[in-house]
Amino acid sequence: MNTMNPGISAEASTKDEVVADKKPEDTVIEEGKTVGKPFSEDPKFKLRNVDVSYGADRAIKNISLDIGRNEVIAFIGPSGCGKSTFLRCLNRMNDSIDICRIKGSLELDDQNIYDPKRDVVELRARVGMVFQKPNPFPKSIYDNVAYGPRIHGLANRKSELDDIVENSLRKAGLWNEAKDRLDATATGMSGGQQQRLCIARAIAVSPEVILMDEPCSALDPIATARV
Amino acid sequence: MTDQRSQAEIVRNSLKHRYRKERRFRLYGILAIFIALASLFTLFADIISKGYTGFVKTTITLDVTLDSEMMYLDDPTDEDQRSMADFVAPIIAALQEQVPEANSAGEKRELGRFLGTFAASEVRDLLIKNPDLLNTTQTIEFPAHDRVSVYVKHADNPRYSIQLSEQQQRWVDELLEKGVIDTSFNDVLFSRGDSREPANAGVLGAIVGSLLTMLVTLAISFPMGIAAAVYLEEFAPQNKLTDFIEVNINNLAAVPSIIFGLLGLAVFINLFGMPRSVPVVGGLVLSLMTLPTIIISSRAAIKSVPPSVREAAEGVGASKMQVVLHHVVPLAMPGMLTGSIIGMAQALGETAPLLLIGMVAFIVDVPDGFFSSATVLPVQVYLWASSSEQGFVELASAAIMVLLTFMISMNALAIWLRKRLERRW
Repeated sequence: MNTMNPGISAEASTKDEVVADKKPEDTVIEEGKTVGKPFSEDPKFKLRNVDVSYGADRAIKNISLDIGRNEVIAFIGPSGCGKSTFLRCLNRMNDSIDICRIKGSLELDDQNIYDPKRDVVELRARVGMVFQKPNPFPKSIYDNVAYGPRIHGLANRKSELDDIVENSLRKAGLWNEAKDRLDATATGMSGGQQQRLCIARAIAVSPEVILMDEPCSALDPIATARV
Repeated sequence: MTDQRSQAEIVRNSLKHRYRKERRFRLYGILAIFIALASLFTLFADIISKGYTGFVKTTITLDVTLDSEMMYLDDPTDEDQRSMADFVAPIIAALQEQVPEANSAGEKRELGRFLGTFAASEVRDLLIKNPDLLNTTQTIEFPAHDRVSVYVKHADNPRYSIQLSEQQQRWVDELLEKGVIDTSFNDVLFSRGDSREPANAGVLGAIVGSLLTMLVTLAISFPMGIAAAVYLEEFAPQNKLTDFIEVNINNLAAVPSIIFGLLGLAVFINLFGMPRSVPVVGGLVLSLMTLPTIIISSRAAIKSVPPSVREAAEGVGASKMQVVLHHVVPLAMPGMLTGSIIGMAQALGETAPLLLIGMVAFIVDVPDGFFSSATVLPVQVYLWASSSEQGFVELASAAIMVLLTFMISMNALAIWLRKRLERRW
């Protein structure tokens, strides 16, 4: 376990690892103010000299970092400093932004994330993501959670799918509120409930890594504590 | 403190001004809606008041004695005899019974002109079907001639000229009183194709032609338009070529429809050798015309799907195709459907391009397939409105009402579908 920044959440996670996000000042390494050990022996993610730019704007400058297995790491920093950009690089969510250019080497389990031959769908199934703003599908609560397992074919029977949905909702602390209204539309829930639903949706595909982009900004303190 | 008070005062003073502005703005809106509704109402009132008589037919009901001697006909099944027979004589005899004062041959001929030209064939068809009816007396309803019809319906309307002599007018009045001449709902209008005689002309042929043409248009332009919109919006790279395509689709939407008609004539008929005046060619031409409308509205609908939904689906590992099919297209569907139905409604009312591909021909039979000659509702209106016979003018108004009914129901369908499929996100 290495630490890079003071803002680590000390929570244990049932998943392999959770990269909850709040991000470092991206100049840490450049300025030589690195706190803790940025590199580890057998990292899950191995990032070297990562540069991200949107057109002429450089959003992230020269970051090198290892993220270990079963590690929970949090990034903090002022808004607009590139926390989200950095996270989105880890499962190639920036692919759809044409002007976004990424340099440097990013590896997941020693495989290059940006290898042209790499399957993005497979990568995203392994590296799930929860976004800053709650963005449930305009479908029922059940369908929201079941969508991931369905498209990946993770459940063969209805009962298996039911189990996945229930477990995911429990882990996101939403089961008690949602169990009686699984067929209700997800957009009718409160903002905080929607965010926890999105967390449940990310958990449902059992990803190896979950990237959370300020997941608690839409949550009240009690729900935050539960997460 | 004084500063604060004066500030509150400034706000209060400006409030009055702001509210006045708001009221004025609302007034403009209400005024605009009122003018739009008033003109719509005037249009409908005018069309309905002038055209409702198109839905009324004038008939002459007579007890006709199908006398074999009078018709020179012994065997109705014999074609040679039929061609020589006089089917009009018994009808005129029956009519003369009702108007005893018409005795001379000339007066009888005058009476005969009350009947539509198809009266004789009506008797003939009846006898072919039931040869046993020969030498019996039957009550038969004949369509009255246009002259009688115009007199009965528009006797005191200065826009119509009455083409009956005063004697004939008196007879018609007499027959009206006796109930021999009567008016009823014009079922002929909805059960026949076009005809040379207003009393026998109907819009069924045009309705079927319109439906067949619309089916072809829908089958071609809806899938093609949506596929093009989805590809351009979701998959196509942003480069000079796609920009060029986009500009040209917008240009295509602004091309006058008659140009598409010329294109259809040159390409589908002259180059591909497809037949003239058939619904298939009409549908092809109209789908060229509606495609840009559908593509543009579908692209707008796809663009309005929030990116967060896309990201959410990508975040759980959906492939591009799954993102599009499971999320983007269903969410954009109401907008796509609305655009398509508006495009279809436009195509339904289109005349100019169809004139060029020959759908303006005089076609009596109701079309029975995509490759049989047909005409469409707006062209039928055009044909009838430019006809010299007075009976056709009111039929044109009736056809306009049928066309408007179709359009209103299509638009209502669009609104219903949108309400039905619309979801919040």
